[in-house]
Amino acid sequence: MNDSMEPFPPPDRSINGNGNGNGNGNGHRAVQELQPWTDAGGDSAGWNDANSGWNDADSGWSDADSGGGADGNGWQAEAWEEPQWDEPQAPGNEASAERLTPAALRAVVFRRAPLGKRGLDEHQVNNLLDRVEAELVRLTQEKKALEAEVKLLRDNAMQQQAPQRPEPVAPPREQPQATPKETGLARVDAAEQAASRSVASRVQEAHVYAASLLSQAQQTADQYIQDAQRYSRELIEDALLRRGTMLAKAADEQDVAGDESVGREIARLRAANQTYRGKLRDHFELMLMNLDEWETAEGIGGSA
Amino acid sequence: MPGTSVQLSPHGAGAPAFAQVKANFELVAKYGDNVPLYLFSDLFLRAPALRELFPVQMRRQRDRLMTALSYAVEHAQNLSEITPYLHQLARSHRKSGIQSEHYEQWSASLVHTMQRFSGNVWDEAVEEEWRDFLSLLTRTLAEGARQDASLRPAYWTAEVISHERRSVDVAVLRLLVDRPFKYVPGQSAPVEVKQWPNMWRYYSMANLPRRDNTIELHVKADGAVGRTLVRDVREGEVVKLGAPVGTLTLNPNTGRNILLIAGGTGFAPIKAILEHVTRLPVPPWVSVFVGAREPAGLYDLDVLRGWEEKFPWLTVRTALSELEDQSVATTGTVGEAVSRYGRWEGYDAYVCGPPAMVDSTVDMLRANGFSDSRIRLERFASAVTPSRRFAT
Repeated sequence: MNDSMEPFPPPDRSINGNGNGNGNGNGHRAVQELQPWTDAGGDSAGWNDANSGWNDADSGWSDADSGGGADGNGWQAEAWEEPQWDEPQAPGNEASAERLTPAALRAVVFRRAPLGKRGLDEHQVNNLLDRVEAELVRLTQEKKALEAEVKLLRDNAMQQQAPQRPEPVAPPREQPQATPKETGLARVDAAEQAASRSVASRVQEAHVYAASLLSQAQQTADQYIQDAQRYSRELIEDALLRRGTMLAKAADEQDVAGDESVGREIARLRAANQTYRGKLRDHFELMLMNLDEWETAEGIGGSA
Repeated sequence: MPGTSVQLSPHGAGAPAFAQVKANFELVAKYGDNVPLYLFSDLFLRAPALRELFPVQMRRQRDRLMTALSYAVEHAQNLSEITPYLHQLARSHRKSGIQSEHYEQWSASLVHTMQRFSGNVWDEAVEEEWRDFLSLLTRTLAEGARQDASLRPAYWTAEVISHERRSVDVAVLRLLVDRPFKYVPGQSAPVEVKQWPNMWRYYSMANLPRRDNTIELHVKADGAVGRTLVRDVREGEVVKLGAPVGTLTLNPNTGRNILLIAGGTGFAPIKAILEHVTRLPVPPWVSVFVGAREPAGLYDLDVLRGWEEKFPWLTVRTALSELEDQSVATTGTVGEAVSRYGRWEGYDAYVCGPPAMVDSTVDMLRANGFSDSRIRLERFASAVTPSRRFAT
């Protein structure tokens, strides 16, 4: 049970559902744009964005199959060669919903200019520049809204710490709804309020995601530590066990030696004793003999 | 307004039933370990500094949290019943550096966690009730911490002044505590070594409180902290001590004789109790039984034999359960040894040792006519929390 690495399946979905149910459909979508990897709804524009070249290529195929040819761009002839950046159909409205991502930018492949012209397709390049510009504007706006939000939350936290509310850092999503007057939201105009709410919802979702990530990291760490500790415990137990058996074995061998072979050992030692004494005697006799020989040769013994 | 809704509660007597909290907790607790896992993650995201107050390995913390929480939720309708427990909890939080304001952050994370795991069941009424309950709970905890802070420091530091390796996996340490360290002989205190931050392991002091603030600990090399204390810690190193706890203490007023039973390093509190007895003006008859698996486990017998010669009222017997050595001790468990000596009518029993040894010994004592009121016991690593009610 503890070892399961499964990151909370049922509540996850229900919370997402909650986020939507609270009237933040807008925010939900925005979050998906912020985090394409969450893949919760699968219905919004955010996820498709990076692959738009592929999607459109698909639609190009199906168009070709059905023989409709309704696609006014006229690029079917090259469509299968490589994924292509397709110009948005209606740059005014549709493109603004699709977010420009670094991945999308990387995937851009400009067509060559039509015959007779040199360089890249001017129209396409301009189009992309427009989108980049729109994206930058949007990012700037978002940044402003976020700054406002941070300030708002900071004020909230300070206000709440003073009268000792039970929750100093409340989930930001709830704040604007619960006590709009208190939080000083009234100071912000309506547009900014909507923006900050969607931002707050994003912050909330990001928080949930971060907490899930942290949980998984903690679980992994716990697992590693547990494994390491178990391994070291097993090693130590094994070593102690071996030590025990070795000691027992040594004791046994000692006993056996004590019981059986004492008599044999004594006999062996006695025999050795005799042998050595005999050899020693031989040795001494030899040396005496040598001494005699030496004295005789030098004429010492004789003269004394 | 948490306060008003508590008083306006329809359940009367000013004590809300917190039925929704109970039901909601029951529901959420089904997600097992994922709940405290998420709760801690949420808490650490809100207040990253709090992470440093917890050990790297969090599994036990999560179990403890859910145990304590389920215990509190169970008594939600009358928290004052478990005030002693909550105060003890707050006391043990102090050594880790947990402050009163951290309880508020914890409450916020708890509400958020409950919301996350409740799904569609969550509504404002449930949330309101949780907040009310948590504000009561954290108020009790903060009060406990505040009271304790007026009595003693959050923790003590102690220097290892001697480290004797008595066997392969047992060491006897003497520590010099930095400030007066009051305890009753037989109590234990949580110890933290710097190698394992925020991992606290309880060890019994094996001596009477001394005027020079030195204490003796008997450590077996199991668990991360125990292994470090036996194998790595050297003289001169410094460890942290938390406030002493435990009820395995001498009751000198029963007028009965005393039977002390120790297994392994469970001898530490038994030794402290025995030393306590030596200071009584009229000591009762005392029988000490020390059990171990192998001769090396009887690591502190010399002192005991010395006392036995000195004090006529003391008898010491030993038992070895695995490796027999008749020259040192009888063979068998310490419980069998006690049982063999028979008549214990006029005795109170004090038992400490590994859980299995304590359990079998208590069974034996009951079979020998001991009522539970005449048995005091402590298991190794006994948590201060109530028995585990939370199924993961």
